[in-house]
Amino acid sequence: MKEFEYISPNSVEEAVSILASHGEKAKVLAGGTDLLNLISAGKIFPKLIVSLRNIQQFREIKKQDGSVSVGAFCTLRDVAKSEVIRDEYQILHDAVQQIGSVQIRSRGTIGGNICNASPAADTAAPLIVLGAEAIIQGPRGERRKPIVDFFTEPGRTILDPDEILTTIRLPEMKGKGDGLYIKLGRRRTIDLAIVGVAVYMVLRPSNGEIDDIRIAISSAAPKPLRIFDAESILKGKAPKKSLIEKAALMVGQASDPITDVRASKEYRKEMVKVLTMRAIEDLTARLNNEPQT
Amino acid sequence: MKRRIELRINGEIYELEVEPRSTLLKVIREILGLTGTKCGCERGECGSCTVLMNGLPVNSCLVLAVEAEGSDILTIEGLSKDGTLHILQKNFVEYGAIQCGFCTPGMIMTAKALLDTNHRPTEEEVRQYIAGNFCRCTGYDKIVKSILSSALEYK
Amino acid sequence: MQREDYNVIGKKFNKVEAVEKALGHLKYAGDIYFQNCLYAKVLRSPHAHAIVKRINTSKAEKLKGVKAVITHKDVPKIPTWHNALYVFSAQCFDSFILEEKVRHVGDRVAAVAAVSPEIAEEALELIEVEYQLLSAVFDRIKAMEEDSPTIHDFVWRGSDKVKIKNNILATREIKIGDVEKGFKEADIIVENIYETSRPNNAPLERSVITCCPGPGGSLEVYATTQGVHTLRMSLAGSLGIPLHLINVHRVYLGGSFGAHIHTGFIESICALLALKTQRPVRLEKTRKEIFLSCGRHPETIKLKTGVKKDGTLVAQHMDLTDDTGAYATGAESKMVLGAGDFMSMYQCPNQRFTGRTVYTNTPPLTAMRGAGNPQVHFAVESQMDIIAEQLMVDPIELRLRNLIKIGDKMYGAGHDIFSRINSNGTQELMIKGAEIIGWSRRGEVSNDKSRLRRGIGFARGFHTSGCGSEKPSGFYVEYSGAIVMINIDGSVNLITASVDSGSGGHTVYAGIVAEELGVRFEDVVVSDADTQTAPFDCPTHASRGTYVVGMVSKEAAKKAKEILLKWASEILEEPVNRLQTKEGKVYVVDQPERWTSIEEVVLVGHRNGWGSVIGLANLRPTECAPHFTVAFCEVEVDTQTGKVCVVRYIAGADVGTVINRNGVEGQIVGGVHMGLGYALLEDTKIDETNGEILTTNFTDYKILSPIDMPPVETIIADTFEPTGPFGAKGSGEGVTNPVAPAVCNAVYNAIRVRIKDLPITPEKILKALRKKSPNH
Repeated sequence: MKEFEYISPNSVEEAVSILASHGEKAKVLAGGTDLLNLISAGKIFPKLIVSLRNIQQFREIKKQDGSVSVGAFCTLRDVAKSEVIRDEYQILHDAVQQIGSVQIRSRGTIGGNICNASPAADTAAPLIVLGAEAIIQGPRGERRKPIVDFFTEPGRTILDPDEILTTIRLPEMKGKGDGLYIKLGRRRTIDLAIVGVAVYMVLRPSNGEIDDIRIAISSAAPKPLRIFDAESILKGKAPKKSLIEKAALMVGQASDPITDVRASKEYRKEMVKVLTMRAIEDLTARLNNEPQT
Repeated sequence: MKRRIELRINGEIYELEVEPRSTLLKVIREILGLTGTKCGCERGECGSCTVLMNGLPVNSCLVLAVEAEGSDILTIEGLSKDGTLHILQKNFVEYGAIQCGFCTPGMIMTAKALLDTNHRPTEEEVRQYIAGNFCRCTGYDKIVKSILSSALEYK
Repeated sequence: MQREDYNVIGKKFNKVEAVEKALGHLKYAGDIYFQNCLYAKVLRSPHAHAIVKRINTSKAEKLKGVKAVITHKDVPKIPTWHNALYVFSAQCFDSFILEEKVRHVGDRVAAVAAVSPEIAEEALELIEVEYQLLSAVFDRIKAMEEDSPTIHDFVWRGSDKVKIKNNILATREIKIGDVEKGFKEADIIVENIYETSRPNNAPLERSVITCCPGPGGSLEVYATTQGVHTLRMSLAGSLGIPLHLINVHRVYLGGSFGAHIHTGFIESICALLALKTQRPVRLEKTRKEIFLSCGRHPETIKLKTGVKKDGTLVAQHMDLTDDTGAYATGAESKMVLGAGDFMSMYQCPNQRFTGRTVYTNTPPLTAMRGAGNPQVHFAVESQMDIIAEQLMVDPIELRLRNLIKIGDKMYGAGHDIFSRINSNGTQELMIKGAEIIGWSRRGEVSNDKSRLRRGIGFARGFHTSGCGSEKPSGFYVEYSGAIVMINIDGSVNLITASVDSGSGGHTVYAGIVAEELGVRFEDVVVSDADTQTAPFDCPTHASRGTYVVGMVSKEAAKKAKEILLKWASEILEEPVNRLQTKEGKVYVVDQPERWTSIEEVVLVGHRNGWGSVIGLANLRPTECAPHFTVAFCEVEVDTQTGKVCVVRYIAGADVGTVINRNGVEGQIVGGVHMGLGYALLEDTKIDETNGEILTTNFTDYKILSPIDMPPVETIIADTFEPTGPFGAKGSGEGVTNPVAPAVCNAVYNAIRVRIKDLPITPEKILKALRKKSPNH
């Protein structure tokens, strides 16, 4: 690992001003589980590490007026252990539990999982379908952005070098519907997704038609994507197999994966379709209290 | 530039001068000579460097030593008391869970973290919890059995 | 002695070093630090095939803290020794300590020793290298074409300079009977091509070596090696210095699985830097560097089998192309082992083997748990199921019909060295295993029409226990030496150079010595040893530990016991043949009240100046006592994703007498774990455009997690190997060999799709399913 200086400011304001004066040479350290690997692999060479460890703020999961604010510095373990997340945002709870090992979840943060902008980040697709919002602090104050617009390309987000993601705001979802994240890995635990599909769906109690649906995919394009087209053909319709298949095909077509050591482009495209179908079918069954496949 | 830090490891306070880039693993092994904590990958992928930080298992290769200041660190050397093996150590020995033994210290630390919070884990929970600790020898069977049997005697 | 009378053997006992390991006190090679130590790092080639045209180290040398920089210009012009396990004339010498011509991405260009690893790394970046790029070849079949790039012009085999043509290091042709006639007599002929993958040994411990210079140009060496004596020979041979100047200390290994039988291409670099700087030098591989220096050989195997309608094999021809990577530390041994394995799998009167070992511009490969056999097992045991289906006979029936039996010839490491089978539990294991898994359900489980389909599969196999043969092989050095010493307090020291890589060898030897001497297991200490104090032993390989080292330990104990009983006979005034030992005491037969303690006997000898009680034994095994195994598994295949989940596994092993039950069970389940990885997941991926290794860490290269492991039930055959110590034979490798074909056969049973190239990935399954029914 190359040499660097280290500073641990006491507030986000202080951290942001340090970042502002150092530009690209400084990097934020939250849990370090990705950052230190990037440094030791020689992929980045920061001159200054700005550690968030002394900042007490943004480490809580708070419920306010129905919505929930997740502090970006919460560890993945904190999120996985949170009762409100488990009870009201199960899709996020499940996704977080599938990130890394217990060791990684002890240190890695939810903010870090998003800010690294891995196309395979497990929280990305679930947060997108939950309609989460990123709250960002910079030298010019605070700004907010829907998570779906947060990612730009592999490893890149809309964050400026002097900005810090502080909070992820989850809108009220209780009683509305249910979400499901399906991750396909090469093995059953601790693996990056070959592809991940998240679906959030609301059915009309009166006729079982799809009232609202959101579909997002990860590890299937340069950045996590929400597939609006496929959603729109499902909305207001009954979740029939043929329609689900058609929508899943659209999701597959919208995906733009790469070939890497985990899988080929072709396989990924195919799996996006298969998992989308499975997610919608399983959710339909779950919402109708039927046994799932 | 080196920084002066204070680390609390196995109940002892150490005053050290470390470079910011020094990992907790490097300090534990090379400065303090506690070589029970192993290094298998230096990327947080194999779990052989697992230590407990405020009771939680972490990959010490992915923690900067400067970040560990103020935390309570427990390594394998701090587990046995007065020459008596910890129940996990005893059962790992007796159940034949130790083959090459290179994963053992990290595995035992992870298992301790599990049993500290979950006194009666299911087999599935044990397997899930230790999945970040790579073992190339045992196929995990005897490791899982020793952890499950330790749970029954856990205090 | 009857097996039930054993006092130590067959019980579950704790490993001799287990407590130290549990406490974190045991020092592996990398846990030994020295004052004033330098850290070495290796500059590795970014190109798959190139000539180092110009290399400038001056900037690196000027960096503060750098103590030495070496390149190809600074290394002895002696072809490097890697594997003194082979007799000199069979060894392949095809590299230097550092290369002027690099032959794979990651090949060794230069090395630095500095006061810290960070400075050493920084210095590497300051070395300027100008490469002249050569075209490279990564595919073993293409490598043999006439216009393929030449990786080696020549190599040394012993002291013979051998020209290399078309990148073929060596070929073999072996014939038994009349194969053409056999095929003519056959009712059906089945012919298939099988391809195998490139898994990495991936021991958890990373390779490390520390060399400490001593007086007169000597070196004390601490290294992750499976053989201390052979490493000493390799270092002396490569550096061109007298053997006696080097002393290699035995340490416990954090796994090896074949990765450390030979050098890992860093040992001589480290020794050279230590001699040059006259300071201790430590060279530790990164995980990436391990991926660049070991792994199981990928092979292309054409198998043609002729069978009678009743299932009798009448002729078979295997044609095997073995990829050794850029260097051949194991010469053509994997191909030759494959030949022996092939010819010994089943009885067949007419057999032909043709094979070749080929160089490619890929990282050098090694033995890996099974040494050539997992590949051949995959081909033969897949083929047996294909034949069974064509003949419409039960796969188990077909195998039983052609099984090799006690008294049959066994080819260990090729056709020219062989032994006989003296014990064989295969049939017993097949019948028991079939019953446990519910073999009769086999048709039913696969008829499911849902997306998840289940199937049951079977395969069998074996591995030798060591490399014993009637006559010395001309290929392997195969013998062991051991010393047993009884101390004046009745404790016992076993002195062996044999390395325990984690399989529990030392515990087994201690148990055998305790049983033979009649002392308690706890009384036997396996001494610290090094090449100056322990007699020669081979590297720990070929599942030879229990069988060969166990046998020599028993022999040494027997010799010590002879002295003990002679002295006891004077003390107890009884002839030697009337004495026996048990639990630390010497008894008069049938008069248990007349006894003296072993401690007392040794002490009397000590007081009287009779000397020390020492037994020394040397032993060359004349048999290779194959240990037989069976594999039954049930899989579930997701026909939409192509994912295969192994839901149940039954592993049967015929290991002769079980010395330490915990140890054998651990070997079996561990062997299954590694075998399932071979079947389903593990493969080193190479960029076919530039030869770069794409899987160099455990994020990209996955092994099966504890969640992926099915419940493994173990069955152990009730056999006794008459040539083995207390009836025992090996167990480490035989378990792994049949796993992949068993999974493959189960997958076929589930979805009627046969995968002939490993690993069985979801993509291959989907592709094959689609080919079978295009509408899938």
